[in-house]
Amino acid sequence: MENQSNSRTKTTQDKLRISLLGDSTLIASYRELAQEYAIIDECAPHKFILEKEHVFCVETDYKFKLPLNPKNFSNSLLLLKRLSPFNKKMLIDKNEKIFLNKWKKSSLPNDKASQFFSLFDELMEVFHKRFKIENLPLSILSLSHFKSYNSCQILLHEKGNISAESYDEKGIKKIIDIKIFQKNYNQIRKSKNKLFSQIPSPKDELEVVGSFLASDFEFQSYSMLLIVSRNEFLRPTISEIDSFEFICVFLRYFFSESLRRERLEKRFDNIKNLISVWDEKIQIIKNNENIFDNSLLNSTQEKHEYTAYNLHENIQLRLYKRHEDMLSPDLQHYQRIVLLGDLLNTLQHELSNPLFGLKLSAEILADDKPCGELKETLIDISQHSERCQSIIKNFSNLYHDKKTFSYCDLIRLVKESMVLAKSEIKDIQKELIVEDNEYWATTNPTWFTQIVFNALLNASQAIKNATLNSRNEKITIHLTKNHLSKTIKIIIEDTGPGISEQNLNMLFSPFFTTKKEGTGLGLSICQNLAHKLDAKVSLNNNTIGKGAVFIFEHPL
Amino acid sequence: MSIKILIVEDELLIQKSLKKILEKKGAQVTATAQGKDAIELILNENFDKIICDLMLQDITGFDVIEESRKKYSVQQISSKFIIMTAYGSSQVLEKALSYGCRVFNKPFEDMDATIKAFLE
Repeated sequence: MENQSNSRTKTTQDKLRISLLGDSTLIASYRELAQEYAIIDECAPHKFILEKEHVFCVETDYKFKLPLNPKNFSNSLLLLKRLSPFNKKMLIDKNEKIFLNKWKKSSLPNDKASQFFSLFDELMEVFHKRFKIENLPLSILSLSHFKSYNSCQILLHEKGNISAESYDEKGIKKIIDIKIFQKNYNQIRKSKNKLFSQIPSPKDELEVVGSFLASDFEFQSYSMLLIVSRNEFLRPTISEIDSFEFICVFLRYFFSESLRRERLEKRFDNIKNLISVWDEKIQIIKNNENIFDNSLLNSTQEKHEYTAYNLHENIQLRLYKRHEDMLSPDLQHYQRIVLLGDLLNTLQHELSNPLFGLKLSAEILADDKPCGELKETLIDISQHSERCQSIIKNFSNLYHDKKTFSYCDLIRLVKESMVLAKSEIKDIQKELIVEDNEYWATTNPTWFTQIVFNALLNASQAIKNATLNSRNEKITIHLTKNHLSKTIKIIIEDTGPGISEQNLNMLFSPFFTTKKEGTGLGLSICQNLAHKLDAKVSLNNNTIGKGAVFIFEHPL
Repeated sequence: MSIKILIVEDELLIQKSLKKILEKKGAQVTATAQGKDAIELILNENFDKIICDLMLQDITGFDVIEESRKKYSVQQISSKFIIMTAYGSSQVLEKALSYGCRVFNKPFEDMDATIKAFLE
């Protein structure tokens, strides 16, 4: 903050850098006048609305309206040059009125100009040091205008606080009640000539004695009172009152700037405290330089993604996030599944050839009519390699989202699903009840298998979670054909604990799970697949006996 | 006179088993695992049937067929070559069929019918 102000002071000590806006003949006539004080950039963006009686000066981001009067124009530029370190909007109109921040106006008689400029230099010196509210009363008394004054008090209230603060020229800080502050503030504010109260009634809260000059300041987040006194009961003269009024206009600007700065620094300290306990790396960058970070991680090693926010001026906040943290568990799960699919493809291709070889050679050896046990073993080898191959194929089919519908026997598909789920359901009794030997229907075998497979897994997990000995538990798969509704019902019943009342409505919602390691996607995917098959799935408690019943209604 | 068959298959268990099965059926069988050896054999000898795997270690079965066109007409190729593949994607199948060859997916669904086709 300090550095920037210094550098700006330097450039303006050389010359002001401005752009002129207006029609070309007008600009040409003013160019010469401006040259004494300013470096004029050729073109300026036409982003400001031009008014008839003014010519615009644009200095970087700040705009100044200057009057269309050659004499005043040069004076205004001189003033501008002095004011510009404060980066503030200023307007000088034809009547030589100065508007600062649109709050107050004050006349600027020409004969006071030199006094005025020297005040500026003084103020700049006082306020460009690192601003501390404690030192302010003393600094104000050090201004040549207040030479004859002995005491100064500042009452400051940050909006929203329940108490106000008082500072005096000795650097003593006092906390005062908000009600007392407000009473004084309103009294000074409402006084007829608004700026001072001549006859003081000495109060404990006010340090000054005798007649005093006072002014109220209203800022965005502060209310402030400035009180100066000679510690005597003589009334200030009219010229003193004028001068005080005049100074207050400028003090207002300096105060607002400095308070804002102090507030920013306070806020910055708060941010720093917050950041230091944050468990991800955060960096504060000003003008591309790191001014603070919580140095959690070594930035050269980590992979990161960052977000930058512009806080104020050139300050950026950078948040470093590790990539793996960005991924939700569901996305990770999804990525694993995709990887698993690729893996299964490779497995299928790499394993099925040798397995086929095994099967063929075992069969050939068995054909050579070896003695009993050897022949049996060879036939076993042949059959088992064939089974291995079909398991790999089925798994791979599960992951290949082949969108092909085919006419197939649902019993075969149910059996395939049982083979897939074999390791999960091996300790549990299973029964497949069918009324016919074949149930032919047009379906997508992959989707169908996936639904049945999922239902079997759910049933077995429910059983295993409820009991240690699952040998007495049973999963029954029932296939029935309903010619009226033209559907085949696949009913999967288990003897597990069933579903609690409160969970019944949630079952098919994505991400709902009662399992520690579950994704909560299984049933919701099943429902989605069933919808694509024009089928229906439902899961309920068994009305007769215990356990849950999964009903999969597939069209004929 | 017995039928002369060349088996090009890099999975040795399959190669040996097929050789044995076909020899039992009375065929005269030569077997190789390398595609380049196969091309040399095809160009130098006369086979009635060439049973070729697609995914070989050095080159693909399609490369073997392309090289064989130096000696055989398109018609001869379609009758002589039989393609085996474990990689049953539709693109591979389409390409194989464009040569007019018969294609068998491994593992063979019907062993007897496949062997019969090999000996025709």
